[in-house]
Amino acid sequence: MKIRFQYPPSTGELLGLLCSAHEAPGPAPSLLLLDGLEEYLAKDPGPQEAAYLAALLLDTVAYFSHRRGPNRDCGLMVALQTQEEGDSGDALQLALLQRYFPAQCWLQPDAPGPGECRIRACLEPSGLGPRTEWCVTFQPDGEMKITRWPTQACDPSSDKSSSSGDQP
Amino acid sequence: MAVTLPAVVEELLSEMAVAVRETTRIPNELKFIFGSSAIQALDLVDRQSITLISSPSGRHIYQVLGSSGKTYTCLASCHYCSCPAFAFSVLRKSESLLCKHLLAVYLSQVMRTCQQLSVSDKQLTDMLLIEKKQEA
Repeated sequence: MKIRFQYPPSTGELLGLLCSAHEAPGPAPSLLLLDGLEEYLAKDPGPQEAAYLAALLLDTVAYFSHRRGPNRDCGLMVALQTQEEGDSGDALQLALLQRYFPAQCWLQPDAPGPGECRIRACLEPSGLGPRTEWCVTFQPDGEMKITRWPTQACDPSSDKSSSSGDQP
Repeated sequence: MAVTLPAVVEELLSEMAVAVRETTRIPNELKFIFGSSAIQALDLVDRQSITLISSPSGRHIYQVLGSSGKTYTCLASCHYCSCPAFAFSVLRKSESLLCKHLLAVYLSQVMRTCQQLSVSDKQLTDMLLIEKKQEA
């Protein structure tokens, strides 16, 4: 099992990697992780450009799944930091990305206790699955604890600062 | 709207596959759901305008020769078409489920009327990159 790190410096380089994924030698990966999608969308591309990037990610993963064979899918996880006060363009872009990445996990910093860091995580599976909320706490010694959030109400459209999308 | 087709459309395409195999009848529900796009898509299918382009790697895309003479690329695995109508009516306005090119691709899959073209892995990469350059 091997993790391969790649650092495409631009949107063009990232698209080039995705377009040529079928030419790459070696076994197909079991998971594609993309961090910082907002950086690749930072030049405010139009909806078609953003959709092409999202669709290419899905197409690349579909190709890898095909290569891995039946019942051995390649997963996709994409991290995106949203603006706290975005404009209508940001809202359109987010809606477009949600179209391609319907399963989402929203992460929102929460007021921490002394010496700890706390994040509210809201998991929205695609389809009709229920939303679930979790509290992720990092203690000063680095220990991480995950517990169910006390209430089930979660409205990721308000006061959200970051999220990660997942291929369902 | 999710990237996968709503259940009703999936069901309709499955019924179409059965109807075409048994009687060559096109279900009326196609026009009801997709409106004028259904007729335009069927016209594209009739003109053999859809080409499945595949490479030795197994990766493939669809290209559709539009009524204007321009060629558009549709990704096989998810809802994407490079045409302006997809960007406007589907992505921006959410007025339509599909553009006529994507619908034509799905219909040609059901009716098994795609043209087929084999290219090298490098050529397929270039075709996907050309789409990117056209977006820019």
